[in-house]
Order: sequence, then structure tokens, then C-alpha cells
Amino acid sequence: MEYVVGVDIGGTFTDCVILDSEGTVTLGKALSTPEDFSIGAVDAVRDAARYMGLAGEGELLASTKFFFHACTVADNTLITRAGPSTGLITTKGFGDTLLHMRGRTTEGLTETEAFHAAGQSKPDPIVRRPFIEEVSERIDYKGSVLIRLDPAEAEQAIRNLLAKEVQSIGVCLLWALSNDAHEQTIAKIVKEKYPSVYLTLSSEVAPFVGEYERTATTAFNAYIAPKIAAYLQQLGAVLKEKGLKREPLVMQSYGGVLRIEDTCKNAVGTIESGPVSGVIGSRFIGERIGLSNILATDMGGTTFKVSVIRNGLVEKDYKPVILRYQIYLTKIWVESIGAGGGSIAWIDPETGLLKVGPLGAGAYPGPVCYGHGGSEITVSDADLLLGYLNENYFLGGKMPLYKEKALRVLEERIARPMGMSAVEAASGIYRIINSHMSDLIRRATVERGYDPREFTLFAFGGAAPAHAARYAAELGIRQVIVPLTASVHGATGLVSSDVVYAYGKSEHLFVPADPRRINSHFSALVRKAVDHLRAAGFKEEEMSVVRSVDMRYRNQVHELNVPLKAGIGEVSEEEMDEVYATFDELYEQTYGPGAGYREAGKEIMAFRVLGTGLLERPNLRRYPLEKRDPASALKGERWVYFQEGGDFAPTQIYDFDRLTAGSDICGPAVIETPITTIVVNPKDRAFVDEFLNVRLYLNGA
Amino acid sequence: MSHPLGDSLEVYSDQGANWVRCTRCSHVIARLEEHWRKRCERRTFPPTKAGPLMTILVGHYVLQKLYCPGCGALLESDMVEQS
Amino acid sequence: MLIRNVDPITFEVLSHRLHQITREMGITLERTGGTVTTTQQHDYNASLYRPDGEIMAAGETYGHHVVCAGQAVKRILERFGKEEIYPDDIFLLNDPYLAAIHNPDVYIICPIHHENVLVGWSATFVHVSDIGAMTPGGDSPEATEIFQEGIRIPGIKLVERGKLRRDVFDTITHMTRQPEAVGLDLKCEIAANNVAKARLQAMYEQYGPELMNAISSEMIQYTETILRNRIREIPDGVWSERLTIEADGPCKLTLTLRKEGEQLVFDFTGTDKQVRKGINLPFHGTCGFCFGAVLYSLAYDLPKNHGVLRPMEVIAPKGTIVHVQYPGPISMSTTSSGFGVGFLASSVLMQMLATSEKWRHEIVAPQASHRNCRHSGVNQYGRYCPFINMAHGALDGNGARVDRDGVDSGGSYMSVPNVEWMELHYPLLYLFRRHATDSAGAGKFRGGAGVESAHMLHDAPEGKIRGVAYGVAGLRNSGHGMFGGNPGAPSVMVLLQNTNANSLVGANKSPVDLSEIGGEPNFLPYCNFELKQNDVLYMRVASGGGYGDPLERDPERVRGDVLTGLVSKAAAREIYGVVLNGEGCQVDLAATQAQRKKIREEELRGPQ
Ligand SMILES: [Zn+2]
Repeated sequence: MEYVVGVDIGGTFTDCVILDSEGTVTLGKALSTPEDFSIGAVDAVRDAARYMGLAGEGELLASTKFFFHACTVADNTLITRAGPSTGLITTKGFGDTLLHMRGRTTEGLTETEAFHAAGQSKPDPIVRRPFIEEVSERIDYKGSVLIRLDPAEAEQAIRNLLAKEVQSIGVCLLWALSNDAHEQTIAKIVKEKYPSVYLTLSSEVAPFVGEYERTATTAFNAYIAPKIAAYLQQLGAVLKEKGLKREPLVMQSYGGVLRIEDTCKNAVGTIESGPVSGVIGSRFIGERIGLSNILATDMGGTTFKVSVIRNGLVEKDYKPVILRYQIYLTKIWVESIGAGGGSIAWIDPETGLLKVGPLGAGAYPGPVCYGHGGSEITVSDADLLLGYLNENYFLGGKMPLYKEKALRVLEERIARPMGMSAVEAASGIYRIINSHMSDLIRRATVERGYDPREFTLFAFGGAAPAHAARYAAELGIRQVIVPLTASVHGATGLVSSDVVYAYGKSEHLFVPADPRRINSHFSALVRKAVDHLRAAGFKEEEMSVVRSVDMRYRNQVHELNVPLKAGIGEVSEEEMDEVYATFDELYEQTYGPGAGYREAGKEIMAFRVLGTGLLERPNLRRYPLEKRDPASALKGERWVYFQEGGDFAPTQIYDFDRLTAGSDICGPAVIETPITTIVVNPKDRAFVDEFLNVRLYLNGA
Repeated sequence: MSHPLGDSLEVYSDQGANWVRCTRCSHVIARLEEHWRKRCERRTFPPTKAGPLMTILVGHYVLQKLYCPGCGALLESDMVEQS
Repeated sequence: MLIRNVDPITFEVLSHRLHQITREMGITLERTGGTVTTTQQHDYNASLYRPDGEIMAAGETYGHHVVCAGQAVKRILERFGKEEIYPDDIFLLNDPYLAAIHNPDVYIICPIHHENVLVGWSATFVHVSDIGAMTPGGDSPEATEIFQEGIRIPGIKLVERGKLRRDVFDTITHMTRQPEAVGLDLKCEIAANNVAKARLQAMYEQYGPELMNAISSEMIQYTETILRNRIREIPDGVWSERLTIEADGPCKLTLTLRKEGEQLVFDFTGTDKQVRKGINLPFHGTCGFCFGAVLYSLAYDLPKNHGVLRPMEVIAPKGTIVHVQYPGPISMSTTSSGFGVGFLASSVLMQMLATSEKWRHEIVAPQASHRNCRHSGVNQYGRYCPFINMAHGALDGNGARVDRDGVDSGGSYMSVPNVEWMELHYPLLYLFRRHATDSAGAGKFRGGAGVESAHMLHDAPEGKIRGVAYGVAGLRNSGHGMFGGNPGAPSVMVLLQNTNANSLVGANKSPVDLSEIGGEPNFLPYCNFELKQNDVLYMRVASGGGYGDPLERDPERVRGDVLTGLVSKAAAREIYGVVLNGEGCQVDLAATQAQRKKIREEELRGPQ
């Protein structure tokens, strides 16, 4: 037997998914171990191995064909500012670029935060000003050197930083994307004289126009690279020692995996790669069941995330905002808000209005019903009081819930002050949080020109299946799928990933652009991607290379990414004309009919290449569909609240583990699994498909 | 009635009237109806006392500072037109 | 309970959604706009109005245009009458004597119907690339009356029953210096209004007109009620502020705020007569800037709608700078007297907040804005650009707060384009862009540092480009201190002619030191100018005013500022009274105490 292993390290838990050659899925879970994440990773594998009846993780790893991994080391390092002492070298006169942040202070804030004049702030700088050195040098927009960099001055700058004990240095010089000679001069000095220092060049990690975003990307990379490298090397060594034969592959934020060595060269690429795995997992399951338009929604304890898969393609973001900094990073587009099972319900003291979130109760003490001393009513408390959650079967009965306690606090803190009954208050909380989530989905679809009704919604994360049918119905979505692997969805995504190299390069060209320039960029980027794929062991026929350009109307700031036709051959003028026409179409599709304005002229801002080394997709086991009466899976009945009747009604409760493929259940009903609770509303129907995913058909669909 | 009036002053009521006093030394500066600023210690300085980049104000403005007559606490700094 | 006619949960859900629509309109403007002001500076408006023009939901940008666009809706209603306003019409208006603030801020106004009944309006503005005024880009320092300030449209149908009126569209764009760029500007506004219409109609479809109408009137009622409660809690009082703008002589703006019960009266009586220079502000603009000041201080967390206006009264005598009479020039009004009024309103409100224990934490030392520059000319690709906005105001330092420093280069929600973005599109070379040392107003909590920058020509085919200097001209622009805090350094724009910058570059030296750059300095008033070979334009934006006595600032904070270069050692010693020793700038506490005592004693003794 051979195995494919996916290990996804999250803030609290490390999840593991094992697929054997027959497609049987085994799950493993362990606590994350922030002091050395590789311990938790091995623990999770051991947990799964035990379920499989194997002797231990060694036996499993020795027969593992692929080991996929997603880690939160980058995010942890940034959030807790746990990186090493880091220095930055910039062009003289521009050392404050990272600090002034182009003036923006509201990026990544909520509306009220953005409007709150007295509350404005900038994030703690990733590199503080005394650690930023300036060197005399200047290159212009054409790449011509105006002021030569004096190597002696460069070395002095390096020495000044080393005197402050920096371990990592980022270099971002103006226009290094057009001419990297000066950055290379600095690199040469560091490599020759100070080889122990981590070095990041802006021309390598973000060769795009815009010094603020490029500097921020460079600084982020410099700050996290030493941590990422140390961790991955440690993990690689531990796994090798335990018997793993092939090197682990690490998830990147654009949704592909890379070898450890390639990951370390561009550590910034692992930022938020965990949630990204979930999106890849949704795509994989979608492929298996024949769906290509998917809204992947993840509702956990504190955040709610949405991503869009359209025509089987994941949506990407090229300038994401990370911790209020805008950086250049090709990243799967994930939109999130503070909404989850732990979101706190509160009454605005001034207005008397009921609000939910964005603050959350956190994992501990958590909701009131956990009985750990939590004193704030949360969404989970409301879910329990409405009858959706089972006080005796939360997490498969591993954790009792305290209903009376939740009821008492709800009455005291919410219902009585609002002049409502407890039911009205709980259902109000449920409605408000659902509307926040449907608003975010609306933002992710309608605002970008997509009709949500053309999508199937995937619900994963512990809290989603109790809410998904409501926030989906609000947008006219007709089908919700709760995947079998909903609770370890990130790890599922890992096992279905490909090896992907993403490269890009800025050059500003007016349309119609000189095909020689276009081809020269593409051939360089394609060569780089193909060389790396070959080095990673892929043959030509296992490679897929997609080229695209970032385009906009002249002088605009926001670009649209326009793909070229498949292939890597010379691009002709005719082909480019088609690309230009595609831009006009995409533009109107995104911003509405009549929005386009060809007369303004167009420009190309960047070239991008995505080189994919196709890995074998794992099998998923299919179960025969049987028309069996679901009554055999009936656990009992309890009073559950549904807004249609405005009251509690006796409702049938099903045990997921006893349902078989082909089971059909009409709402109202509740399906309990050991990890989550699926609410089937009165006009909806639940169906267990051949992969044991639960599909909800809404409003008689 | 009692409420703050900036950082080091407050308004309070006593004997049917409202007064402005210093919160640091309790010195009563004026009745609320009066212009309390007129009852402060007042000093003027060249604008550059507020920093080297104020040179272009020289000859046009002066830096006027108001202090509590009781304890000398600084109450206000302002550039006022040079008379 | 404040909500009477709608259940509070539905209210919360739908008012949130209405706000989302304005947000989405704004994003559409940013993504599809063609000028830096729209795409990076957020200098636009995107709001929803009730059928009569009352504000239903104001977008997340400048408050002043929210009021004026509402005015524009009313003017369109008057001009066309309901019977001539059809579903899917879109109107254009930019007449400052009717509703706009200056001609280049073009309002696009869209009636929204549900089953053929007018249920609301959406409106946007962007500052278009050009409006055919005597100066490219629209701000015309040499104009003496409105007729020189570009095309002026009192209301016209740009789209009729869903069809773009190409003749009208082309007529408008052809009266400008760059029809394609202006075309893109108008297109982005149309796109944003289309978004608003589709979304609002979908809401009417889903929830029905009865509930929707009830929600929008409840929202206004709700905001008004809370705002009145907040005002009532604050002690009654009178506060005043003044500002002098230099426009061929001093122009004085005066504001007195009278707070009585739950009413705020902004009275501009005493403000100078209007002048023959385009800094005059239409009355609705004055109201708009006062609205903005209230919105960002007392109402930042409320649904933003007409309820904010209701407790306010604005008095501005006719024929003054803040209530211009036809045909006075207005083209520079937004960024001069407009921001001036914004400053005055904010200053009096801050003084008012300082009398409330509950509200004093919302104080931000007020700021009288900055100088600004726009270029026009032929770029390195041989193309004429009428609108090269330097947009540096995004890097203003913000005012200090009661318990915190102002944000360095915080500049509200705007952002400045990258130097590389500017150099890629325009024939310019930046010499530096950095926080200006000693720019922040000192205080117990200091203001935010402002940014200084310098640029010169590079690859300019004509060897020169034009410039227009606007903004708030005067020595008292920038941040004002509060309660003993110092003002921020004034914002200046200096044309350095015949400098050594090019020879420094030739000699392989970075021109970052003004004394080395040299040249003859010209402090620019409101004017047109030329930037020629060997000229350097130096700009310093506004810096925040300080809060409280600088001698009471934590010496360690002063040390930190010295280490980051925001405060010079000399200023640390002379202004903050902090004595720092050695390379590591360690605080000498005893010497600091002595120095502080000495400074205060000398001050009280009076200047020598
Ligand atoms: Zn005193």
C-alpha cells in the first residue's frame, strides 16, 4: 500500500489526511506545538496511523509517496513579531518608504474603524527606522543608471546593520525591477563577506513597479525567511529520519506546492497558505463531483472566509493586504470577516441595537455554553438554544455543553434589556451573523460581476454546516455541500495539490505592444518555470504552463489579469489582439456593461507565468448509492427553532455515521456528525452522495 | 455644573456662579463669562521657539504662550499675528 | 428603543446592506477611474439619496460632497420635474452656483425606480482630468470670474432611458484638453451608478417598497436622535477659530460655534468678502465641510445620512468667501477655503469635545491642510497630460490626541502614488520623499510628522512642464497645537530655480540635501509656474499639531524620535528639554529635569 499524506498546521490543531491507493480517507488530529511545529506534525501523522491500525508513523511514512504540508510559521512570525532582527537597505532619500506606507492608514479596517479619526494608527513597522540604511545610487524608469552605487558605501551600510546584530537583510532599491545591477552589487558583498546573513533582493521576490509594495514584500520576506528555513529544514530532517523517502512539498499562497529549497527562496510565498489549501480542497472535491463554480466558505470560531472558484479556476489576488501592509504576492483570493461560532453578541449601549461580532470570545474560555467561565453570549450559544447543537453530542460527545447557563446569560444580557423573549434574542443573533456572512459572499461575487446563483456553496469549518443553508439562501444559492472532510478541509486540499512555480515581471508597454518585448519576457519566465519543473522531476508531458498579462486602461491603477491561450510558443500579434479584446470583455464583465472605454487606450503592466507540474490526483472512494430509508439512522427527536414557523417544532435528529450513500432526508431535520452539525431547514432536502458528502438542496431545488 | 475645559482647566460651580480654575493648583482664573485667556500669564516668543522649520513665520507671527497664574502650567501655545 | 416602525434585527441587516452599496460604488470608481485622485486618493463621492434628495447612505469618503450631491439631486428634480425623469436616465451636473463645489468635480446623478416609481437616487463625483478651464486640470489661480473656469452644466441627460447620449458625451469631452481621459472619468461614474441602481433595485425587489422606505426614514431618524442625544450631553458653550489664507493679500475666515441644547450653530459672520481669486466657496460647500467635520467626530460610528445634518445650522453671510455670489471665481475652492472651513469646523468641535469627559478622548489636534501641486505637459512618450496630480496630501502628518501621538504621514484614507508610478508615467525624477525632521508639532503627545519631497524634470521632451500651485496658501496652514502643544511645520511649496541637482547627479552624488541642491528659492503663492531644466520643486505637506506641554513628554519617547530622525537633537534639548548623551542617545534624567525647569523659568521670565 502507498499513501499520500497531507498535514496542515493551524493555530490550535494540526490536521492530517491520509489517502491510500484505494482512495480511503483517514483523518488524524493533534494539538499544534508552536515551540516546534514539527512535533505536532508528527503527532498528527501518528494519530492517523493508529486509526489505520499501523504500527506507528514510521510504517506510514516509509510507504508515503507524497507528503504535502501547509504551515502557519510565516503568519505566526508576522503576527507575534517573532522574526529575527532584520535590516533594510534602500535608495538614499527613500528610507521612509516602508514607514509612510503611501499614507494609507485605513487599509484592512472596518468601516467604523476607518471613520474614527481619533483611532487611526499604522501597524508596528516590520523593520524599525534605525534598522533602515540608505545608499547613494539611482536608476531611472528605463533602467539607466543615473548615480552609480559605490561598493564601499554599500559595504558600510551592511556593516552598520551588522553592528546592530541583524541576521537578515532586505534590499529594495528604486527601479531594481528594471535594472538589478545595484542590488546584485550588494548581494555579491553579502555572499562573499557575510555569508551567514539571510539576504532578500526586491528584484527577486517582487520584480514589480511600485516601491512601497515592493519594499514591504522584501521586508516581509527578510523577516520570515530565517524562521521558515529553520523550521522546514527541521521538519525535513525529522521526517527523513522517520522513514519518509521523498522530500515534503510545501503549500504556497497561490495554491501550489514547492520543494523546501524553493520555498525558502521565497518564504513570503507561504503567507496564509493554510486557508488556501481549503480552497484547493474544494476545487478537488468539485472536480470529483463535476462542479466547477464553487463558493468555498469556512466558518470557524472567529473568522469567516470566502473564496471563489469559477470554471474550475481559483481567483487570485496579486496585491493582497497582509496585516495592513499591501504586498506583491500571488495569492489565492480569500476574503474574510470576524464572524464565527465565537462571535460575541452585544447591545450597543447608546442605541439599544443588537450587534454580533466582530469581536470573538476566543478558544478559551469561549462561549458561555462551554462552561469554561465564558460570560459573553456567542453565536454558538444561540445555536445551542435554538436546538441546532446537541448539548450531549458536541464534537461527538467529547465536550458537554451547558444549556441552562447559556439561557440564563442570554436572558440577562440580551433578551431582557432588549425587551425580547430568549427565543427572539437567539434567533436575532442567528439572523444577524448569517446576514454578515451573506454580505461577505455578496462582496465576493456580486461586487465582482458574478451571479451567486450560478455557484454551489461549500461549507467547511466547524460552525458552517449549521448556518450555511441560511446564508446561502439569502443569495438565492440553491445547493450547499458539506464535504465529508469538512473538518480537515485544508489537509484535503494539500493531498490534491500540484507543484506550481509562479513568476512575474513588470514592464510597462502601451498597447499594441511590440511582440518582441512580449516574447522576450514570456520566454525568460517560461524558461525559468520549465527549468524548475524539470529540476523537480517533471517530464514535458506532465507540465502545464499558463501565461497571462496584467492590463488596464491607460493611467488606471488597478489591473485585470488576462490569460493567453495555452502553449508556450512565440506569441503573434494576432494572438495579442485577441488578448486585448479579452481585456475589454473581462472589464465589462467585472464592472458592468458600458463601463469599458477603448478610446482611453490600454497598457500592459506585468507579465506572469504559472508553471504547473501535474501530480497524480488521489482517488476518493466511491460508495454505492442505496435507496435506504434514513429512519435507521434516526437518533431521536428534539425541539428545534425554525424561522418559518417562528417557533420551536419537534424535529428529527439523524446520526451521520449511520447514514449511507443515497440517503435522502427532508427538512426540517438535523444531522449530527462527530465533528459538526448540519441543519436542514423546513423547505430543504439533504442527500448523502457517493463520496459521503452531504448535499443540501435549498427551497425545493 | 462641573466639566473639563481643555487639559489643565475645569469649570465648576460655586455660590451661584461658574468658574474656571486650574486643575493642577486649583487657582481660580476667571468667571466662566469672562475671557479666561485674558487672565492668564501671557508671554510671546519668536516663532522659531516652536522649531527650526518656523523660520518663514518670522516677522509675521509670534508664538504666544498662556500659563496658569497660580502654578505656571502651560495652558496654550499659538502663533498669533505680530502686531 | 430608538427604532419604532421596523424590527431592530431587520434594521441592522438592511442599514448595513445600504452602506455596502455605497462601498461597492466606491470600489467601482477606484477600479475603473482614470485619475490618481479617483484611483488612489479616494477623492470621490458615492452616496445614495431618498427620492427628495435627502441623504440615505453616505459613502466612506469626503463628507462635503455628500451634502452637495444631495443638493444636485434637488436641482435635477427642479429642472426636469418628476414627469421628465425616466427609469434608467443618468444626469450630469457640475455648476457650482447650483450644487457642485468647483467645475472639475462632475456629479453624475442617477434616479432609481422600482416598478416605475422613483424610490431613490445614487450620485457620484470624481475630479475629472480636465474641464476646459483656463488652467489645465481645472484649478485656475489666474481666473477672476467663473467664466474662465471651464464648462458649467446645470443639469443634462447623459444617458436617456438606458442609452448613452453619445452626442452629449462627446460634446462634453471635446470641450476638455484630453477627451479620452475625461471619457474614462465619466465612464467610471456611470459604472458606479449602474452598480448602485442594480443593487438598490434588488433590495426593493426582495424586501418590498414599504419596508425599504420605512428603513431609510428610520435610519435618518435614528442617526438624528442619537446625534442630538450626544450633543445634549455636552455642556453648552461658544467656541471660535480663525484662519488667514494668502490670496493676493490676507483673506480671513472666522467661525463661531454655538452649542445650545441639542443644536450646533456654525456661524461664519466676520469672514472677509469674496475675492477675485478662485478661493471662494459656494454656500452648500460650506455646509458640506461642516457636515464632514461633524461626521468624523461625533457621528463616525452612526449610519451616515441626513440625520447628521438635522441638528446643524450653518450661517454664512452672502458675498463672503464662504458664500460666494455669482460670478465670483471658485475653481480652487475645495482645497483652499473648503479645507479651511473644514479646519475651522473641526477646531471648534475639538474645543467643544474638550469640555466633555466622555468625548475628550475623541480629540485630534485640528489641521489647516497643505499646499498642493499639479503639473501638465508632454510626457516622455510624447503625450500631453493635463492632470499630473502630485497627490502628496496623503502624506500629511495627523494631529496629536489626548493620549497618543498623531500618525506620521497618516493623511486620512488617501494614498499617494508610488514614486516609481509617477516616474513611469510622467517626465519626473524624485530626489527624495521622506519624513521631514522637526516637522511634527511638539507636545506631551506630538503631532504626526509630515513628508517632504523634491522632484525635477527627467526625459521631458519640451524641457519644461507647467505647474499650478494651489491648496491652503498661508503661514498658518498645517497642524495647530492644542493645550500647549506646538503647531506643525507650515506646508510649503518652493520652486528652486537653477539648482545644482543635475550636476550633483552627474558627479554621482545623491541630491538629498537642500543646501547642496541650492538654487534660488521661490515660495509659491497661488500661481501658474513652469518647471524647467535644473529647477527643483520642493514640497512639504502638513504636519500634525501637538497636544499638551512638550516639557511633559516622556523623555524616552523623545529619545525614540531622535533615533528615528523625526526630532533633531537640538529640538529635543530646546523644545522638549530632554538631554541625550553619547552615541546611543541615552536620556540623562537629572540633566533633563534641570533643563526643563530652566526652560519654563526662562519662559515665565519673558524673552531676553
Ligand atoms: Zn495652576
